[in-house]
Amino acid sequence: MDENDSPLTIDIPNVPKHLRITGSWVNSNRIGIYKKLAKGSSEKYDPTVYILRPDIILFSPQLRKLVNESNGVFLSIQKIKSVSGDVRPELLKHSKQYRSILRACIESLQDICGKCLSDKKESLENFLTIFYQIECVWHLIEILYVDVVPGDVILPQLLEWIRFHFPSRELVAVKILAQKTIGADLEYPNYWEAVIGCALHGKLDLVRALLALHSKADHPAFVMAENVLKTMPIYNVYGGYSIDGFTTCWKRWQLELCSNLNSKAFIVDTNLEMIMKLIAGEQDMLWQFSQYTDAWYELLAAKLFYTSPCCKQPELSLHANNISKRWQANRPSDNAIRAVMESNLHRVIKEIQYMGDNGWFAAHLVDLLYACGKLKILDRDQVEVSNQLHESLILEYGNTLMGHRSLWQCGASYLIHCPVQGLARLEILLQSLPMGSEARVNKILDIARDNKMDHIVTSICKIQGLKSMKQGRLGNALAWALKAQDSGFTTYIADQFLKRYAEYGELDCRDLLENLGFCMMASDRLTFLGKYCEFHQMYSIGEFKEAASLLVSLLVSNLTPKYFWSILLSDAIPLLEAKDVILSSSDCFELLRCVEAHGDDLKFQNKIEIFRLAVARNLARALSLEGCQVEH
Amino acid sequence: MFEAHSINAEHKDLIHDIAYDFYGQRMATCSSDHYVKVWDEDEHGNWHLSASWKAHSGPVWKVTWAHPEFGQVLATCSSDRTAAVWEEIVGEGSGPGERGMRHWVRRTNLVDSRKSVTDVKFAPKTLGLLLATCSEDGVIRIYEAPDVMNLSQWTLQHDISCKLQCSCLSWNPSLSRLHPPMIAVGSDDSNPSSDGKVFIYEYSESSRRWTKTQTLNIVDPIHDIAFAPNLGRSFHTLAIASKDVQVITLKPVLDNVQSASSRFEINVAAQFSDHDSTVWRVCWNIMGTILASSGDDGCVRLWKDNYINNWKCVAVLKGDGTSAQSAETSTAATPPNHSTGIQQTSSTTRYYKLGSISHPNQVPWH
Repeated sequence: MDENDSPLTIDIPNVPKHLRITGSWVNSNRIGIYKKLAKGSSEKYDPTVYILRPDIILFSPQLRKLVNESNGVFLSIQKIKSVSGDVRPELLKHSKQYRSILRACIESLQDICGKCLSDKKESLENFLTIFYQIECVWHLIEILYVDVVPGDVILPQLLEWIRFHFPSRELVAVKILAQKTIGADLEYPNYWEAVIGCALHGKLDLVRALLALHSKADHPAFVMAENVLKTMPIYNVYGGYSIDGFTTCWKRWQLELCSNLNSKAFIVDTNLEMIMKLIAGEQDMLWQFSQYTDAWYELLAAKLFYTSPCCKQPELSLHANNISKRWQANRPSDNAIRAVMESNLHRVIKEIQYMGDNGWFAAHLVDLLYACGKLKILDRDQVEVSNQLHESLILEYGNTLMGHRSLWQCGASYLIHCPVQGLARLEILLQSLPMGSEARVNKILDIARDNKMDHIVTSICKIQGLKSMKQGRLGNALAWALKAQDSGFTTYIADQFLKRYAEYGELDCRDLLENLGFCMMASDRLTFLGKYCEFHQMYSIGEFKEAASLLVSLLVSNLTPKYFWSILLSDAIPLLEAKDVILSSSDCFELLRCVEAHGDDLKFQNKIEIFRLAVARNLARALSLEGCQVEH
Repeated sequence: MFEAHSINAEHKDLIHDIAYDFYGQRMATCSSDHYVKVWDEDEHGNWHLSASWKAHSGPVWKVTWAHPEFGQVLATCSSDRTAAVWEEIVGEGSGPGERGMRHWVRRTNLVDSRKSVTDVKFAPKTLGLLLATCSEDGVIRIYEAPDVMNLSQWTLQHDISCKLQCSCLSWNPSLSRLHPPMIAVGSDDSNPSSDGKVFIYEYSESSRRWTKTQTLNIVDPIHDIAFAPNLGRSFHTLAIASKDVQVITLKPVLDNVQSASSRFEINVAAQFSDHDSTVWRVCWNIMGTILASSGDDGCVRLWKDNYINNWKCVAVLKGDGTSAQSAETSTAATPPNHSTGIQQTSSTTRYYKLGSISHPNQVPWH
């Protein structure tokens, strides 16, 4: 998004620098590279081709569940979008679902990580880092953008977020408390660390409980500390105070603590005194304690808690900036969190695209914010481009998934929800999916049909038909050609059937041909083939009358291909010579007409005399029979 | 972050072109050694040579696949002044070795050109089985196979003289019925005085002729040209390799403006001289979302536009400076999608991991 980003450089091994190389795309994300020699170069030419593709972590089996489950949530959000009324509570629920999918993913990664060998472990640990950071950023965004904070005072939620993501010191505190030993400071070397950690997170009840276990808990200084902590006013929207009222009250309390500090009331224990200074809001003490924090935003929460408890979102940005600058934080997640606190969504989206998750986060988050109506992105000319941004991120994500052998269906469901370019892209990608098994082809066809892409259905069926035909599987080819509703191709295949029969005297795939039903109408040649097959069927079960009338109707139909006349005419001979008179005199005239018109085929020359004779004899029998019937 | 897979293409001379089939599972290579080779990818991602034949009596410049609806069909063109159409035949014999045996047969040899044929491309499939060639004699020829089930009959439908020697051509792949068939042709004529070296031809259904409807005002020699898939946009996108990389958009001007001196509203969407030297090839991925350009500076650069149509370079691919011999032992071969360790890569193919995500701070290229 930023013009100043330098592009990614990829070094290809075994290729000399400055050798001319040419790139040619394999499909949507693989590229083939081959070498060229500079003119007049004496070097020996190396004909190696390299095929490069980005490593997509979402294709790892460990993340399969994440991809599929988040797809479910995404689709559910698309349904909400069309519902009117206040959808915010619903969307908050979905945001939490996304996060619980993330946490489940992190947990399962931790499980596998513990069990696997070191070479795989490294990549799993990378996944863990990536998704842990994503969850952390998502949680904050949920607090600041998706959730509705009463009174707009964000500190309580912020503290909750911090406690959730940095639980380690509180766990230590709980462990110490569980023992209930007086003189815990002497027993546990990390006693003060736990107290400070809890103080930084604003867990005052834990701080008090820990101090009560200190060996000098009865000392007046500790008693006073307990008193100070107990009386500290904590802002609560439902507490009955206005913000102003609370602030006066809190300021009074802070002033009193400061005067106690000035009179060196806590000097008996340096650690205690330091903690009280922190609680009084002393900036220097905050930074001294920074060694006990893992991230700058832990410190930020502490600062707000002790110096600006009624902080609203606009002020947050200033505090966040100061602290993160001094901390010199610049991991992608740091930058993302700072941008979130600065309410700079454009920057947030940019930063989260650097997190190495192949666009999972950006696509799902932006979609959620879009659904919340919180996405307002302006371009340089102050024109709103939120729609474009939203669609482009989802397109990219869907595109990425389409590149995988089994996740492509999931990818397609994202593309379908992109109103501008989604279907056009799906159209191209569907056609370029490697086909493989019939089940897979049918899945592709289903998606094409669902999206009314009839020409793609036709095209895929035709390709399948052609493939079957090349492999000599005519029946299969015919079935595909019928699905494709391509009459030219159907004609071609029906022709192949008839030609084979002409050559080998055998009809393949009788069961398919005998059960064509209405499909027979797809092409004239197929109609002919189907009827001819029916003729054989009748003949073989002894229904000669039926067979004869079929044959005659075929002869007069004008559907007969040129190479097939001799066969049709030959087929008539045994019927003419049958014991009963099957063919009428008018049938005979028809036969004679046909043999005049089409009997010149070389293959028929040795039969033409027999044919004429048979017709003459049958004609005689038929005439006399018909004559008798008239008299009666 | 990236995986590279190397294949020894076994050509004895320069490879001039590589084309991948519709699915990216087959690769055709052509070379100065007069040969064309076809490679198939197996389910483990390894590429195997499936056919190799002497296709021409001169260097083979280009190779291209027809749409799979027409079967497994290739077209090639060469300095031997011909273009050829090839079809793969699957053996129908029933013997153990015979069934499924594949070989390529020359279906036609197109000998109309009087000079080297520099490019050959199949038309979008909706137009039928059409093939366009262009050559140094400055003629664009359009051939058609009227019966798509019989590839040995090709008729020369149109020859269009464009006066300058031609180096490259591209069909507009857009499947829309809203605009007529369109071809862009580039010339690498080195005379800078001419008006322009990229020509747009359109087919008129009523006059049954191809006519030049636009000349783009680029006077430097043109080496390659490529239309991007339209994706439902109201304009066409054309990438041009010349002394720099350009992406041009052509928006048809509505017909009722009769006074219009040009058929299109032309915009330069992007122009980059990052290669700092001649650009030889441009290639779109199948979506037309990323453009790859190859230049004399030894780099392949990938270009992409964002949601507000700002183009920028997203990746640079280049040699790491090692020569093939010294790096023979470099990286362990790890096939992608490996679930078991038993896939032995064949001797012609190797895998490399190009760096790992040590710090997840890499920009994806899409």
